[in-house]
Amino acid sequence: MVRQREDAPETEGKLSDAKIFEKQSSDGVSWTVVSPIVFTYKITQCENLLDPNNDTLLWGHLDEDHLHDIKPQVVKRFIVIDDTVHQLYGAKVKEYFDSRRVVYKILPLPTTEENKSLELVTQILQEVHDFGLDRRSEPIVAVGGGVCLDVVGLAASLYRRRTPYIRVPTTLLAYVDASVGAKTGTLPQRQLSNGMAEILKMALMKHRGLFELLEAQGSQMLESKLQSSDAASACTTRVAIETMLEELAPNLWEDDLDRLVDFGHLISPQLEMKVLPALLHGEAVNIDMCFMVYVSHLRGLLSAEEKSRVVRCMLGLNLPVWHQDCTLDLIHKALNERLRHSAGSPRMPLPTALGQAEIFHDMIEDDLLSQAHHMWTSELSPVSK
Amino acid sequence: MGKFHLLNSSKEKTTEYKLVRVKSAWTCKEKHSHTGPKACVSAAKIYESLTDKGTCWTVVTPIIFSYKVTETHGLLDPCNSTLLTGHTHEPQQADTLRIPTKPIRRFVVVDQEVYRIYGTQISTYFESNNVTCKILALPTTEENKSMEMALKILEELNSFTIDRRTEPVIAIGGGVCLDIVAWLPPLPTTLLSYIDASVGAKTGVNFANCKNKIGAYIPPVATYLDLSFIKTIPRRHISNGLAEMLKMALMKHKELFELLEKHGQHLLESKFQSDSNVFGQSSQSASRSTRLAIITMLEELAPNLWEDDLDRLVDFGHLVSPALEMRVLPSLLHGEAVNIDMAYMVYVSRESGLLTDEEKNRIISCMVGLELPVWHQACTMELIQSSLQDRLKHSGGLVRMPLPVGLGQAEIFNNTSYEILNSAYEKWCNELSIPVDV
Repeated sequence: MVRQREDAPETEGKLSDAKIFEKQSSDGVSWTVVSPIVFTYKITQCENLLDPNNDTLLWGHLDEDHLHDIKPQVVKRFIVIDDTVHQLYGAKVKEYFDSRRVVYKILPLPTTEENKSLELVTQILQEVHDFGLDRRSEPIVAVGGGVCLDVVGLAASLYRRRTPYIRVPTTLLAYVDASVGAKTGTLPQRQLSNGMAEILKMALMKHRGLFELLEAQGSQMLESKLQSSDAASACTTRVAIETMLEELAPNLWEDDLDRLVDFGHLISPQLEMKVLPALLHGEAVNIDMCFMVYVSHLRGLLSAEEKSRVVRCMLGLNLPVWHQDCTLDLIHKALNERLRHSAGSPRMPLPTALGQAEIFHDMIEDDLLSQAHHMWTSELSPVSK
Repeated sequence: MGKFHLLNSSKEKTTEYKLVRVKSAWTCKEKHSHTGPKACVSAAKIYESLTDKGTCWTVVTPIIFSYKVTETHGLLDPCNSTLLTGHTHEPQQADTLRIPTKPIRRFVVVDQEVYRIYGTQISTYFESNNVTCKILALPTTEENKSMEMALKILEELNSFTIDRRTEPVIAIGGGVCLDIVAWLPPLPTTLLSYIDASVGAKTGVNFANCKNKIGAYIPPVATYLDLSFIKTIPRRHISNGLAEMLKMALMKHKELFELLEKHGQHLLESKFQSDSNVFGQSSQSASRSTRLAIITMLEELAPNLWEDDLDRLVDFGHLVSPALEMRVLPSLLHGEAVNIDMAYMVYVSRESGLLTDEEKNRIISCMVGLELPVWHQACTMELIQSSLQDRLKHSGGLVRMPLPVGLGQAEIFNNTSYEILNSAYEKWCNELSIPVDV
């Protein structure tokens, strides 16, 4: 590589997108390197992922340039799978790779929130290291819920500083967190509702149509476990993914701390950790969102009717709308933490209408918070019924 | 990551979407749809493909890494603001960081040897600038370069609590210290880290007895270089750093090679301190050589920050040395191991007909002049072979061996035969091995 001044005439060679700016001053010299890295990632929604005739699981990550390359003689894959998922799908996964004569290792792990630690990451790293993978062409495959995908993702990003990985979500929650299609037929009801919370979040923030769909057909979709062939289920998950991608793609590394997707995630982290494992992630998110809907209402952003519609929709999805551990005190603590990690502003996403929202940078007054908490509790706590 | 091409297959329909922000929300809009002049359009794109099998979205999003490397004097002089605000990109930003109402806080990780020498100066710097700081002195050596040490730092960082965006953590020390303390603006205090670790984007710790098996490609927001730190470094460590400089010289800069050939001894003697000068002929050699070393390194790294391209000249000296270094830890410093690797490879170049005898001799003499080891008994043919096998595995099936083809010129080779490697090894041992007294 050779540097050329910006104004130098073009000479032979390949021009990079990176640039180096050199600044001289009396104190010394400063070089600023500006280097764009382009991230390209694919999300594929398909059916029968584990059907041996379906190429997706093995080759779906390749782009057009490489799809028709001659494949190597020996193909290796390392698969980390949640151990509950393993009990349900382990045999099919095995069959898939056996039929394609892949040299593989399946590592079932208990990927729960309580185990989500560096020890689990280290365990994966050790096993991957022992198995041996080509640095670039043999991605690690993760099959499971959010915890599994998160942990494998971290291990993959650390191993050799970056190893490609593939996510196959098996819970609805992980599914709508923008990933590959998967079966939800064997999920218990509670897990399904859990996933619906994140879908509802996107709907409340930016998609009125999706909200109305959930409002009208939420409980039927739950009943049929999103397996029914009518348009509603397919549409729901599709829109959920699209709206999530829209928000994430321009802000992959969170340079912009104003993020609509943070709705439901200001208070819930504290709540979730406090009562672990009593609440699933989506359930905690929903409780947070419900409280915030009351805040929106008291701020004059949502009408009483809109507020009621949202709460009814949440109940229709069998999601919890209140929790006794979500005290005013916990809320204050959570909002202060938020202040600390968001460069001094709470950056609070609040719905301003159904399917519309804005990010607020001023702190909510204590008065209003108390009022909201009081109203929320008196209307929704089980005691009041 | 490859480029994404739109498919022409009739079975697929692909739509390209741009992302436009409306109020607080981002929305997909078709590529050619109209967006107002004030619209905020992202550089990211989403491609949606519909096939009979399902739907596929491809997200293409550029992340711009921008990092600064600043060479200055008197970094620990309380009047020099570089250490506090040098990472910001605009002067106004630097001013807002000094709002009197908001106290400035810094978390500083220092190698404990460095702390012994500079601890007081560092504390004084921060005190005079009214900064609340926590200084964590740690024994950052190759043997300790592990997840445990990284975790310890994380724990302390967590208790101190910092504002993720406006309070960058500072790392002061050699390569090991800078590698571990990831995502932070480092302040290198050894020559090696000055021209190598500090300039690149890699972080890492050792794992399963392999160097840097775990890590990330994250450049710090800024790196500050002050040659005066080099004066408290032992001679052996300065040689150590010179090895990496020599590497860049051999790969791509004849002038830098000649500088090291001519002034290497002087640089060692003066510990890079004597630019202003009595020595006439060697005036400016310290700053010139470090500057060249940094620029040549930046040139190689910037276009290939995440090593998408595995053909890298900066790998010279790093094919065999990782295994060698780990095998005899701690008896060889990193640069020393690198130099032994380079010396062997110079013989490989010669055997391959890429270098003349004279060029080979000049290089070895230069290395000896820099007081670097040019041979080691633990660097056996067996170690070399297994390193090259490993290299094959980690570089997509090709050995990608950088070899000098002249002084200050190099190319990457994939087909060096076993015969050449072997005869180079024999000649190397014959000419350079030193009888060992254990």
